[in-house]
Amino acid sequence: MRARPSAVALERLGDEELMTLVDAKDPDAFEVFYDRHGGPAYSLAHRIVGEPGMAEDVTQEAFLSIWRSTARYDPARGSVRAWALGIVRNRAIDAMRRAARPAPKLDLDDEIALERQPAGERTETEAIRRETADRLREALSLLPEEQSRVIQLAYFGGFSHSEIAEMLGAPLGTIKGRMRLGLEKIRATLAEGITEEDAPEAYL
Amino acid sequence: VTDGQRSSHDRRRDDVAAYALGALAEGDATELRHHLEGCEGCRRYLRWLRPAVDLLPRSVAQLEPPPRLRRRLIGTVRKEARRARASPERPRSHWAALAWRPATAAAAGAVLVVGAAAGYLLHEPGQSSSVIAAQAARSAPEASGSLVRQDGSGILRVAGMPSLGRDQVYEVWVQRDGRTKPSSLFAVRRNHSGEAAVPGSLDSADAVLVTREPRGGSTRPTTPPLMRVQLR
Repeated sequence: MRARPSAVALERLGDEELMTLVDAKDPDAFEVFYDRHGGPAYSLAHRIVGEPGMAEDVTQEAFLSIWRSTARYDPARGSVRAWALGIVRNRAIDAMRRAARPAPKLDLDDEIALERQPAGERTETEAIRRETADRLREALSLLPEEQSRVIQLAYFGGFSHSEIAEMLGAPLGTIKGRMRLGLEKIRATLAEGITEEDAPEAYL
Repeated sequence: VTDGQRSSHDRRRDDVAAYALGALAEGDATELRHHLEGCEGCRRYLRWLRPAVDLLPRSVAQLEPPPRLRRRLIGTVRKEARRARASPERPRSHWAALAWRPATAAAAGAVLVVGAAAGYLLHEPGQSSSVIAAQAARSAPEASGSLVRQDGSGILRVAGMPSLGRDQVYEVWVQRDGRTKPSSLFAVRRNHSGEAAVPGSLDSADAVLVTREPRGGSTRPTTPPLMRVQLR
């Protein structure tokens, strides 16, 4: 008997195993992969481009680039979901600005991110991936408007820090500082409830 | 640390945050990457910050993608897969792709059916591992096996296993605090040997079991264990 996974077995695969099959061009695995991540991907594209037709095109392009292995997943980069959504985000920003100029990118495959994480950090990262959307929205809503605004302009708008500084008429240092403070607050909120031994030492 | 040093260090952290958000223009990003290469503190800070960025998409209103997007996408993918199958350089079995990338063996909830290259993981340099022998049930007198524990999770290698029926599969279970949870599925070769990943941490586990289950696996054992690896 040839070892072939049933549909049920595919659905039970973890994201990372599923990706190895997608990399090996298994269309059934790709289908499961799309069903798992297509919704959040389309929603993110829609949030960025603000229009259903373009969101659809962006999502399709992003998933096809994954299927054609022009984008390859490396587990060290983070969860499959985060990686796939990073690709969608970059494509969506590109689509928005194709006519204008190249937009700054999320770095999805830099060496630094790929370096092995110490075990304690890894545990915490895993725990954070399970965080709910509610908690994240709460974290965002707790941010001062000025911090949340620069984060949204950068991530969902694809603007560089200098463009944001210009738009808001604030010094560059101020904008970067707001990005950092905002992200640190989100990160700290996400880490709450994780036991201290899992948490890395303070960085601040 | 002088005030001057601290403020320059602080500015770097500001750049790292902008970089994590994808808000550095290419020239600035290149410069920062150069700094990161030589600065473990900033690299660690970047890794710490990243989950906050990775989760930003979750704050977005969740929409149902149009069904035609799925149809179009899956249609294209199936067509390309058929075309690739017709070409000669196709890999022999795509299950070979599962053969032991160490990082993937750690994912939770995995189902692995494993081909030939099982020795690979055992020879990863610089990692400690231990081997525990399995006990076979009386109903499987020829069976033998061992669990290689490595970095918390494990690889089960078996031989002399009874043949499986057409619609059967071997399932690996992890027993912990009296509860038995499904781990992975595997089949055996014609020579009755096989391997299975046992992903996730085995640190607090009591035993690893193997049963014969209907194809697709079960959520709890439906047959008596054929094999048992006692962990403590």
